[in-house]
Amino acid sequence: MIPLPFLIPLPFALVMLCALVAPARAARRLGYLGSLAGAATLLLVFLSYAGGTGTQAATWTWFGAAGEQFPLTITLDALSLVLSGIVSLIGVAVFLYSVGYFGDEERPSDLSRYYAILSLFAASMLGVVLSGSLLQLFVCWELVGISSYLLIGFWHGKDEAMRAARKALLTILVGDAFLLAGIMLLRARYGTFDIARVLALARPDTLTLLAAIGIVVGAISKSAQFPLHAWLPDAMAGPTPVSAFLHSATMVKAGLFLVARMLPLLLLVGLSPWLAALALVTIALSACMALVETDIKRALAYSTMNQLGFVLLALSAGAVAAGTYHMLTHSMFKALLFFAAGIAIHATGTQDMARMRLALGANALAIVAGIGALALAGMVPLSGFFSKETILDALVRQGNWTIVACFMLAVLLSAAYIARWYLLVFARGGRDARAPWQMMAPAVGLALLSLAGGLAMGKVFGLFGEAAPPVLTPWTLLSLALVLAGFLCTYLSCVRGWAAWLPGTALASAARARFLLDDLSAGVARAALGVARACAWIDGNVVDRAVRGVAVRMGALARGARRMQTGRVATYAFAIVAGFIALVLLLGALR
Amino acid sequence: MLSLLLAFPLLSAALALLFPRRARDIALAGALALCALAALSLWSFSLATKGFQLLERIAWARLGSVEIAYHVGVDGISYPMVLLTALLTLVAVLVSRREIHTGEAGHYALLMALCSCVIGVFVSLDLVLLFACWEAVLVAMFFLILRWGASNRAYAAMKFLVYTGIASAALFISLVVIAMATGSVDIAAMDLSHLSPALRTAIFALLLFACLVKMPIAPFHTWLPDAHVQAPTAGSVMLAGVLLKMGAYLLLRLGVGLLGDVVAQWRVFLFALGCASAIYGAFVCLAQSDLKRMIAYSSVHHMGFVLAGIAIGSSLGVTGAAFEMASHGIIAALLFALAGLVHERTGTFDMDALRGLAQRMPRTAWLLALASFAAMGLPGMTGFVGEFMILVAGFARFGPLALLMVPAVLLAGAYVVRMLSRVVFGTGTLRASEGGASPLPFGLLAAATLLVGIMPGLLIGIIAASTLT
Repeated sequence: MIPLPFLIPLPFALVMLCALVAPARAARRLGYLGSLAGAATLLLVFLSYAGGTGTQAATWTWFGAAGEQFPLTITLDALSLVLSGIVSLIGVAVFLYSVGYFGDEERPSDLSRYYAILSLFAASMLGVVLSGSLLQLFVCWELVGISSYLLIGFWHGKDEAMRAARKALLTILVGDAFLLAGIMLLRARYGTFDIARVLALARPDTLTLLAAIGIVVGAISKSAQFPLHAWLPDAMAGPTPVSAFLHSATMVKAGLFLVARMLPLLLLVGLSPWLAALALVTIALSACMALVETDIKRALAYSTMNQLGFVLLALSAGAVAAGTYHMLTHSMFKALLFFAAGIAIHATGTQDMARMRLALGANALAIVAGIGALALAGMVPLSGFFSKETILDALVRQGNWTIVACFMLAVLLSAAYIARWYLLVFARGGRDARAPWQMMAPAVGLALLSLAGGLAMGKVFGLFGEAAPPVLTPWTLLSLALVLAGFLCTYLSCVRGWAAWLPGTALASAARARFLLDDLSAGVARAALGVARACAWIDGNVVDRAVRGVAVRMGALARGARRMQTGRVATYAFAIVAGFIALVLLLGALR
Repeated sequence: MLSLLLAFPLLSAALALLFPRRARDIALAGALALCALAALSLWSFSLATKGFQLLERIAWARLGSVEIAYHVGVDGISYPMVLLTALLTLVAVLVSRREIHTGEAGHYALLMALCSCVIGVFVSLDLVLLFACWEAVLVAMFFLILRWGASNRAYAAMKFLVYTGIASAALFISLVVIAMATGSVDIAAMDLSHLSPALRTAIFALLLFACLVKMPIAPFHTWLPDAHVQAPTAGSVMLAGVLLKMGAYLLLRLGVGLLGDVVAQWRVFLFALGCASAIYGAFVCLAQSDLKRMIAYSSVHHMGFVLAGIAIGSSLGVTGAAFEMASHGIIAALLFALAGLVHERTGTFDMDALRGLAQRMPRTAWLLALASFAAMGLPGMTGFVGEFMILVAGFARFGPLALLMVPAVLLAGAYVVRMLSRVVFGTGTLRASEGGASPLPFGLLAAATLLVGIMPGLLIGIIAASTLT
């Protein structure tokens, strides 16, 4: 009997097989199947969690060699429960949304490929968040990375998409190499892949510190944190449901999941301040870039970086429950915002926010997008408000006032950039956006969840065995005031035209130049290519030349030796006599 | 059983020469029968036996005190190689059907003879028989490149012959020294432990040189890209798939098997050499603009991992190396077969000219993507399992020094992604279609890498049946 948790990735895996063999006429309907699979997965997750008490683990030996075991372990605890819930729930919405998103211009074979890879992603993402062994984590982690590459490059005829896909995969591969090194060092140090055992055995020594650094680098490359974040905005070249599913709601959470999972080890070796620093830098840079971005999806990508930075900040303070809760609410409102962006792009045919001119008012799109934006800003009583407050509470209790002050500033900035995003898209015109029900229904559903997300706070903290922090504190009121201040700033500068000098400042120009970090990563890639070209040159002009040189020398030697064969009797007679004399002398000398 | 596996390809080679008009069908029938025989032999191979089995021995000749015999047998290291040779021979015959139109009889006869000799190398338990097969392989491949190769084939074939011939000379000397020192050429019963350390080191050094050239390991690898680029597709499939493995196999059989303490002394050097070769090979791959040349260099990269695994020397390391040998055999063969198909349809290996392959030949392009992912070690395919075992064994043996292997893993991803972005994707002006190409050889190999990649226990179970693992 296969343990129930092992069945959790199964529905999506089955959809993948279906998509691979599906006839062309069924390709468009695969999205419904995927949606059903998401629902089935959700059911399985809760059934297997309700089936036991507390943390459950099930191990299966994938293979064994030379007495070593290579096990896959499914662990179902509070963290993985919430995250697998996110994957399956957003999965339901995204598969349905895809049906409406892809029109008739896509070929059925391309759609089958899309659904196959999307299902592969969902199944392997579940594998990541459920993994109790580092081996399984790495296996699924790699599969997630490849599916991200193939999905960003879904329109493989578009050079922009392929460049973005390549950039994303290469950045993630750098992280993967670090993660692999970290996993291997832990395996060598503690002799096991099992995460629970590693955490139990962990000691603060150099090897563990090295491993922890590897794990953190792997995590930040996947979660698009500074300085390995430059791939995420480019990844928006992929289809919008992919941006919603992979690049905001789930895949980019994998890194944070890893940090949360390995947190005891990371804190043990003293990485907490470093995590906080990375998070703060990410938050600051991404907020600035979001404030100057004109592309509707790229702006959302920066805000994803920004919000993930909040989660990383919470984790650096050891607040796993608060971080996980923010991951949950963020998935809902950010997927919602991407869904809205997709509808807006479909309706207007542009991704430039300044030219969208959509109607503000009593239409469904403006309302659901508004709910998403307010939730992101952290407006009471939407889900984002509660999750942000729990992070704030954790930071206050940690007692580092610099970090708290930075967080307050970040709250103001995130309210400002999302308000700007909303006002740019909606407040300037009267165009109406219509969308098929398959696109609108998921957006409305997520809007409802974003409205009611605050109710889940107690439940999520309960899963972690903690009490939810109090909602109404002076800090809460202060942050709420900052949210309103953020709104006000945006209103004054965007609508009333105050502070027109602001886009001309050095900071704004630097943000528009993406702080040159894109150029930095491009420079690293160029340098690697330069080394490669040098190696190829050495290969032809040094290594192989030496080989050819030996051959040429041997040829010359042979030609030289040939001269001895003159064919004249006199020469040979001389050689015979000379040789005889030499032999006699030699024998005489030896005697 | 093994004699049948040896004799059957030879028989079909002879038949192909006798009936030149039906040569291609005779070769196909012979390859299919060989695969069937190889599959049947699985039933007689016992997974529980550690050491040689399916033994056959016929006394052959006597040179002084040295008794030479026809002595064959397999263990967990050589048996997967025999199976791989059978599979790749079928693939080579299938891909030749579209590509070879001149001198068919000779081509198929050579190909089948090559197959027989390669199997001979893997099953020989007698040094003389082994060396005879080793040299015959060289000759058969020389003529395959020389007669059916591309435009610069004479240079490549001669370079291959001379370079690996020098390696064979080193091997020959080391084998003669072994025979003279021990008075025996029977691998199964050989014991070199009573020889003086200096002699053992000398034997190992010669053997190592021969194997490094054959595998090949940088800086002894430059014959490989030329041979591959000029060889016909079938030649490349066999060359990358099984011929390179002969070097690694011999290093395992004679090096780790008989001179384990010398390997242990040289361990760190060999490990660093393997890693350096893998990293160097990957960097050179990254700079290539010729598809076939890139695939050729990827062999240098992967065989570097095999050398690292052999150098680690623990049972897990050797298992990983043996797994990686089989895995690379499948993946490299698939890559070369696909490159051959692409060349046949487009007339070029130039990556920039091939841009946008996915739009013209989608099935081929996605198979190429799959094979490339396998080459970069994506989980779910064989490449991952072998590398992962070698990594685990390496970190267990060397600790942080094993971090050397990590850049090699990363760079494999880099060159694969660069190749895919240039060849498979994007929009280009390519004119080609893939109608009519038989998917059988590609499907076989892709299925093999997926099946063994998802259920590695199938192969590891066989590999475990050896005293080395």
